[in-house]
Amino acid sequence: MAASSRGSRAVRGIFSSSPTICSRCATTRFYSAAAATETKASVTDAAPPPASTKTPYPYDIRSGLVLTRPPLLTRTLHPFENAYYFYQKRLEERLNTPFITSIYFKPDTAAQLDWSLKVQERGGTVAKELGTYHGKSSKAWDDELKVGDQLSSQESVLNSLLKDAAARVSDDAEVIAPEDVVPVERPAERLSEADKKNDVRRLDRQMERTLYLVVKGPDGWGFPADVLKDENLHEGAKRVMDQAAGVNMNTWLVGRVPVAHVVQEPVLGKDGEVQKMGQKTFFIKGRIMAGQADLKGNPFGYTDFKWLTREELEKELAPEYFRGVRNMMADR
Amino acid sequence: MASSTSITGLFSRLSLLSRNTTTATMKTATTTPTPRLFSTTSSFLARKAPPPASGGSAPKAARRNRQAPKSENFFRIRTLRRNMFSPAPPPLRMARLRYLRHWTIHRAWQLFRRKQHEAIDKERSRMHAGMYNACEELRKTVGPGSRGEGYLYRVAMEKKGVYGLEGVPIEYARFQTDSPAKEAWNHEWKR
Amino acid sequence: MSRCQAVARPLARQLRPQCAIRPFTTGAARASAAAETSSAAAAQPSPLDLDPNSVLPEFESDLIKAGKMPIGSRRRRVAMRTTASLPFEQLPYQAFQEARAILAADRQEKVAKIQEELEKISLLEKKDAALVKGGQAMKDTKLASLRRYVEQLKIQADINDPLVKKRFEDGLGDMDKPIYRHYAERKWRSYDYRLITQRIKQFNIVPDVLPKLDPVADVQLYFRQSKIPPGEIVDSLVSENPPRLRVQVFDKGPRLVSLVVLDSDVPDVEKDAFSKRCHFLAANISLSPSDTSLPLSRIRAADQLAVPWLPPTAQKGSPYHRLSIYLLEQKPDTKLDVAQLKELYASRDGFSLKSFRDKFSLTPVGFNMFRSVWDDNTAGVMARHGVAGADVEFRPTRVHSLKPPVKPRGWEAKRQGPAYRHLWKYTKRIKGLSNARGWTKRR
Repeated sequence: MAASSRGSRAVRGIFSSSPTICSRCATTRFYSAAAATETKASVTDAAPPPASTKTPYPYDIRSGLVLTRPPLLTRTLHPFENAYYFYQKRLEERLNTPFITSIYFKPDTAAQLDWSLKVQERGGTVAKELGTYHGKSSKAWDDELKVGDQLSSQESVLNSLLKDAAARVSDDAEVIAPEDVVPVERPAERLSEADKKNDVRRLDRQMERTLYLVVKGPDGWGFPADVLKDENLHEGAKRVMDQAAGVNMNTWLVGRVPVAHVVQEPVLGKDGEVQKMGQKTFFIKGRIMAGQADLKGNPFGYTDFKWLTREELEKELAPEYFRGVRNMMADR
Repeated sequence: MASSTSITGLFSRLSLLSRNTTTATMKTATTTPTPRLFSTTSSFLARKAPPPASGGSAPKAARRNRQAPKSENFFRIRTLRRNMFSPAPPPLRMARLRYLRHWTIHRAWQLFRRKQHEAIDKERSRMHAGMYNACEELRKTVGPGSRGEGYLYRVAMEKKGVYGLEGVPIEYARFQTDSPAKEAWNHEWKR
Repeated sequence: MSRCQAVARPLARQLRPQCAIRPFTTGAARASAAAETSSAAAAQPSPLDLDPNSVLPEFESDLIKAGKMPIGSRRRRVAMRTTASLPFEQLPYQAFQEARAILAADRQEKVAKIQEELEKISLLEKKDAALVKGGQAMKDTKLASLRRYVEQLKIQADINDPLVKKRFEDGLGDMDKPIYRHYAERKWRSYDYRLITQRIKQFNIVPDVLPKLDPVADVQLYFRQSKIPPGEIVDSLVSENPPRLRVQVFDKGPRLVSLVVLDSDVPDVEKDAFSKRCHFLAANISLSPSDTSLPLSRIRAADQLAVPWLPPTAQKGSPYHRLSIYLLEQKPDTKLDVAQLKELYASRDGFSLKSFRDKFSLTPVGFNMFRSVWDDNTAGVMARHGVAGADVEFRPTRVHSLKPPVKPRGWEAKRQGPAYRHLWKYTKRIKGLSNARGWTKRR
């Protein structure tokens, strides 16, 4: 044992015996020194509790879980970003060295025929999404897109890429007739069915945002939480999740450190006795990767659940409750 | 100089033909009764006439041997050699107002990026502050049960099993994409 | 065409495969297409095509025939067709307009912030100093830092405006506005300031005249409408008339300055040294950022001019004279007593800028300099202005080296003695080294 911690033990003995010094200050002060020793010693051997022996601690300690679904989609770009990227692409077109077709395609192959057909349709422009623009011609200076042109939007970029991906020449180098060209399947919409119906129970809604699982208990909407029963925070959170929302979720608890806390002060009588216990709720952050919550048969009396974004939570939760947890929520 | 090489090329081609046809074409081409020589240098005069073609295969073979054999990548290398050393395009030049527009766009982009970065910084410090406050509260907490002050905090700070191969599940390593999967979320997942 | 080619052409023509059909058809097709386009173009000359500012290439010839020459490049004309009537900030380009929206939003934020800070300032001004933590000193510090922040915000609000930049580059900026002063200062610091500090260093102005000098205002020097770069040697006939200064200060508001022109290399024969002489001294000159011209010949008022202009002259043989111009800022709202100045510095000689600065608590803010040497016109200038000493020529005294003379060195010098008699034909009578009378080369 290090000398410093030995000293602190000695002094702690003095402090706990002398009534003039506030025990809270003393323990707060010495914690940093004691922590070094405690981490080495097993966590199960508890330090002698100085305060709890005198008066019972007036708080219930609860462990809660903020189960979040991370964003599935990239964010929608700002219109300025779209315009800027397009602008830069055209500048790049003015500055790059020309595309040499013969380097990439063997002569008289299906791939080469396909390529030349598509480039011809684009008016000779090599880039797929830039419209008809030649960076080396005498009109190259006219590279700025006019206001209101949809060419720079993500939608039109997607369309041009899809159009380019469709095969126009068969394997035996025959041009496929336009009515026989098989278009490439479009990727799914960013706005899902659940968004349109505003189904707050489904997890495929608001796919650009983080969703948070809230449940409706006896005292309104909140994150699932329960009083600790001689266990640690993350164990408690795991138990709460399994009991409240069922086991059919693929989840991951991000660390054991609480990310938020909500404190409800105890109600004290005139002579200091506790009339109503306070509550300290610590929240562990969890991520869900598959599955769905199922409140069937939960012991906490939860009747309903929702997957909500940050803004929707602000409307749903009580203001002081939201103030306690809002710091852990990401912007998107 | 280019013209003379083309002439030699012609002659090499001519030598493939039989001797008779050569003289015949020469006659038609030049209209002089006697075949005139293109070059009158002494070396050319001193050169002996080729021996009469005995079947025509011998000179062909000799010519093939003179050429270096083409590698299988010959055409690919030729394409690369022609195009790899193309001069870099000239730098962009802009007129005054065009440059001013470019400057405006550039400044706006810098500003936009800075605001984004500041927003990210703010978000992170906010989340960190939230964690810090929660941990501070936890450190001052007594319990659960007969545990002493700060017990839960010490456990929370333990890093056993947090890192390593088992630390983060592989399903969590999913990138954000521009469009959702066909089935955006697997609601029917069972343990 | 070379002769060989000419001769071989009919030969080659015979050998070439017969493929004359394709070129004809393509040529015909091309010709018909060209005819089509020309007919289509000729069909529709729009009113824009009759304007020499916006005519398209295909209508140029018509216009030239009509006696009007097209203006500018073809590229410019195409651009003018679409955007000629629009002011710059309304040009309909997507990235540009989106960028302007971003910048405008940022400007709004900055302006709101300025309002906020101004309210804070007014609140703090009203507050009693006793209630501020730290007393009056702290209140002043806080006010000063708030005001500095507001100035900074004012610059930031406008610094992204392309029109402001354009106006400044055109020289149309209003120097009473902080953003233009900011641009001007940045431009000055990028080159002219560095040049001036280099001159201060290389001409030893700093230890010779002042112990410390860091200019914060741009001072340019003009003699007879021509700009003199700092440190230039100026002909004495040119510098006979007082110069004109162009002074640009970069902080706001009017202020009073004093102006000193000083020759710091006047030879003093008695002391065998150099002394200083005041060539011009004026005080209480009002300056502001928007008012930049300062002709020395116009400073005549009795409460401004203390010592009139004396043309710089350098006597023959004396090294170049450093004529330096100092702009010293007076304390706010204090006027110097010019009568006292006249009395003090009427004799011009032995003027000390350092004592002048300390006596009247001035701050040097601007600096420029030129040099003066003896030239053909100096005698005339001295005669016209009654400066004595045109008939004196200085000669530098020879200062002999204190080192002992060095013995001759080298292969030849070493072999001069009789021991090397057999080598004398190589070591004696060598051009540049020795002759019949012995060793001639020194050192």
